[in-house]
Amino acid sequence: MDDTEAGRRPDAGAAGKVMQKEKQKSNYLAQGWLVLLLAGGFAAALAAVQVSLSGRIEQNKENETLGRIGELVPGAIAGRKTDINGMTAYEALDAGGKRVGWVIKGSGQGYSDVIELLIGVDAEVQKITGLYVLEHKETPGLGSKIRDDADWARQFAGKPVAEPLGVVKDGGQIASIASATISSRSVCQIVNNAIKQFKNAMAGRDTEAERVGDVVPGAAGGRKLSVAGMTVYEALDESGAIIGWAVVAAGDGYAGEDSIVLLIGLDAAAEKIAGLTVLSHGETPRLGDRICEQAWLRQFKGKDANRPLKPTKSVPRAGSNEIEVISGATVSSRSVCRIVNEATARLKGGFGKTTGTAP
Amino acid sequence: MAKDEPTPLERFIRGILPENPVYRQLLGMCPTLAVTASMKAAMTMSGAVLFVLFCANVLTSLIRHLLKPHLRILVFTLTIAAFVTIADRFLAAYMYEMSKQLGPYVPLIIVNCIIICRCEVCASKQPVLTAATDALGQSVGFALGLASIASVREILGSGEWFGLAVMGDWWIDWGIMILPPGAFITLGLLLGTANWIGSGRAKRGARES
Repeated sequence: MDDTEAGRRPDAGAAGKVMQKEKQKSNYLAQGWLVLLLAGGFAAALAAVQVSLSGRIEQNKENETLGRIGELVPGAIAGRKTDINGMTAYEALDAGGKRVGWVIKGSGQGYSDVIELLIGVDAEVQKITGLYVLEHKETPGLGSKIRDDADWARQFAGKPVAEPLGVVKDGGQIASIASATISSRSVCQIVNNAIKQFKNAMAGRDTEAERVGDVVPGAAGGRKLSVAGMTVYEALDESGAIIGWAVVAAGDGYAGEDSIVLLIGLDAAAEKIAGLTVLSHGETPRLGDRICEQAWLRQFKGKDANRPLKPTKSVPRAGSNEIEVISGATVSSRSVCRIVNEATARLKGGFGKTTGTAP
Repeated sequence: MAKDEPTPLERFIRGILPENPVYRQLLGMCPTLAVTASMKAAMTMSGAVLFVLFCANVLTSLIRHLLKPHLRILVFTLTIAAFVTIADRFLAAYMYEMSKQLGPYVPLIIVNCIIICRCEVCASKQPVLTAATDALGQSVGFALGLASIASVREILGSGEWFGLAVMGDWWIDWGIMILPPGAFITLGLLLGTANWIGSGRAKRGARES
């Protein structure tokens, strides 16, 4: 008997192990099915609630916006929703129906969640006339003062829109709330962005063409073309001669598909990178968004456009095509390099095919 | 065993005074302090808690035989979070001003200990009827707790009750009562009073027996 058992044991042991594994596998489902089922059921229920109530909630917000117009723009008693080149804004009307200002919506990342603002500006879009926090989820008692402390929001009224706003700590004009510098900064940033966007929308201008001069030194304007499916600008100097190229290139960033949009400047022969700027992005505030810093973008200037750029974590060697990545934002930095590489390669391919525009 | 278990009706009564969540269990102190500056806010909060607690308790009781001991808290939290989100969206749609006033405190019901405590202590072990009456009792108890504090604070702090002026023109508002310190002072005094009355009763009870 001892013999038979000893002879069987290894076999039985292996079979037992397999069985145990099988059992464990089925155990996960056997134990977790209720949680999964409930999660699925609740998700469906919440989706239904969202679908049925979101219209009403949006309506509430809009009513509140219209109700606030009188506070945001002095002299206004009514508001009218309008669409300006794709941007929603509210005309602030006085008793006679004359437009006395605008109310713009702005939103952006705060300390804990998205902050939504209403910004009042005068009719000429020269001065901010009021600020109201429509929605926020900042820390109660600290960041929540962006709404609760009426005196704080009042600081914004009367500020000219020509210069971007910032907190005093950063050399700006707005006193930040004690212990809520990040919330205060975010509000300034959201106001700046919203006003910039609004001004551009008002002018209906081609914002990309305007920035050609930023990436091709000496360029006074751009003429829009399409090369290899990309928007490309001929960079023209004062006399109208072509002195370079500016390519609008979108690519995947840390935030998702095509979340980074760059404007890449090239010299007239499209041999060297003349400059680089970030048109838009969705990278993490205070980390990935450092790809917008001029000091970092300056590295790209003069790099060879015929060879791919190489992101590196060490100091780039002189004369190489290496780009030093931003620590804490490696993914974002690499994305920028990759987008530039893809765009230059594509542009070269496009120039190769279409004789005539080839430099 | 069956004799020791309170009947559904007893559970309802227990929640109101003998086991009042605010004064006896000292649970849910965050909303108790934060939203009791006015009766309207306090009652909206109580209503939201009633809805969430009732639904969570009933659902937990229905699935109590399926619960795995180590996954139960996960199930409770999931259930509570779902109902809180529904309540939150509902307030935003139909009581917009109030929802803004309550701010983050509605989503914070998710971590309100009263609800998870009732799921754990009662609903996960009791049939649906018991769980439902328990939820009602505890919610009414919570509402009474909030109402007592909110009444004191609103009357002293704004001279109003439910937004209606109850004090004459001679009344000068006690600003501190609608601020956070007012919440702590009121809660402390009312809690002390409740304990004092309770201990008097206990002494009498001890003497009689």
